[in-house]
Amino acid sequence: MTDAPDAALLALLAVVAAGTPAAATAPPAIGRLEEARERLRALGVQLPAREGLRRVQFPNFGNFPNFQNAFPNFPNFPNFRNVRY
Amino acid sequence: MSVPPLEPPLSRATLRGATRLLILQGTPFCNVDCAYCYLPGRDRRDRMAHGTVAAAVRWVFDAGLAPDPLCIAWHAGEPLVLPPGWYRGAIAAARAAAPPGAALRHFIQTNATLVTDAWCDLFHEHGIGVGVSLDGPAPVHDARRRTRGGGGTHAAALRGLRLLRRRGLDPHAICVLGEASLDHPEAIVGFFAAEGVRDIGFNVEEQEGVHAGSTLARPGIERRFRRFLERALDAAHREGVAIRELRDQAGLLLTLPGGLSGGNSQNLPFSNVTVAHDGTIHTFSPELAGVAHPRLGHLALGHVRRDTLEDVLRSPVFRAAWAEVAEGVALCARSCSYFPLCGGGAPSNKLAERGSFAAGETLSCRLIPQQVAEAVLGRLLPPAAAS
Repeated sequence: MTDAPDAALLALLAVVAAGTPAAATAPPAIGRLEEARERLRALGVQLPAREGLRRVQFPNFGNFPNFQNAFPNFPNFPNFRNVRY
Repeated sequence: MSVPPLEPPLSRATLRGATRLLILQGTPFCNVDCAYCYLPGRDRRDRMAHGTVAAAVRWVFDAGLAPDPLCIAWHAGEPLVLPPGWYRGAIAAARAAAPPGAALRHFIQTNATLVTDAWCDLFHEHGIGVGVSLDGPAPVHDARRRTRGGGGTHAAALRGLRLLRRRGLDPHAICVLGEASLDHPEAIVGFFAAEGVRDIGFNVEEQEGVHAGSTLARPGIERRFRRFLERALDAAHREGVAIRELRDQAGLLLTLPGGLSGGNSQNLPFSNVTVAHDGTIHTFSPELAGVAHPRLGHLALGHVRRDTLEDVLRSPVFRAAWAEVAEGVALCARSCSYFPLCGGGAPSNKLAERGSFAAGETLSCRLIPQQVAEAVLGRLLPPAAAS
């Protein structure tokens, strides 16, 4: 695994930070995931190749995909999502 | 969307290296009494024997669950109520129990009220990562994070945080959001930025464990929460602060279309392993440790000194829990469009809110990850064309 996904993530975060929030009345955007990926590509964010991602289907989760697997070099590992209060 | 099968087969081979986090409960005791705490027995002063620490680490390695490095978080009670010398012994016991050359990384999540120079010495000595639990400015924090006598804890926590930073440690913060937090995004983010904390994780006040209600459980909260997120995101951008939830959800967009279709770290068996102070083994959501459910009984799966991984996999408690958890994940996959960015929710929330692991959406789902996903997507996408 290289640093490339980390760079893509940082680029994505920059795009999100610079973006304008959707109107409060806007319909949910969850159905537009592929459009979001295309938008990122158009903005120059280098998306990791799909075949390069670790995607092992449930229940073979020895290498199950999650943020930490996909971006092992990003800081704050583990990110304490599972540590509560 | 593919639907995971029910009761998928589990074995030592399929579970190899699965444990992303080993949570060790040095003690269940906590010196503060937060209004939203989920922990049963937090007034008990039991402590884990060093022999149990060793047995826990040995169990994870013997089971083949340990990745490299193995991350160990000391939590599920306030870890700093035990003295630094106890941790020196515990860390040595863990080291001795791990195979030669295996890497162990230790982390502590603390309310920071007990931090002293002696603690900072320990953290430096062993490269221990530190997170502090702080809810923002004093009025927000002290409303919920109180002593048993009812006093606020903000001043002590802030003193601890500042000492950590003066001593060159760089803690992240976990900030619990209740209903009263939602009007103060700029103040909360600004507080952390002013104190030099550059990495914030937002946990929502959840209904789980012994905390039977949430101030967020009210109509219309999703819209307020979304507004909070948007304002917090803008404030974080201005202040140069990272928000964990934003980073996670944005990162997951890069992993589509599969995303989290393999489940998430709370519903995949042994992704989290929690060993309670008495050596009992738990998995799935860490908050399940110590929980006795009216229908499922005590959720301990076995004991690190007595049971092998195979014993645990065969145990009625594990089999019942896993069958329900898998059914719940399958339900999420069938019914929720956010599944690729969530992976099937948190078993602890499902059990507390819905009475079963075999359930779908919860309050926590409707806030994080759903509103975070919408905030991220809303900033990426142009408005949808009117139909």
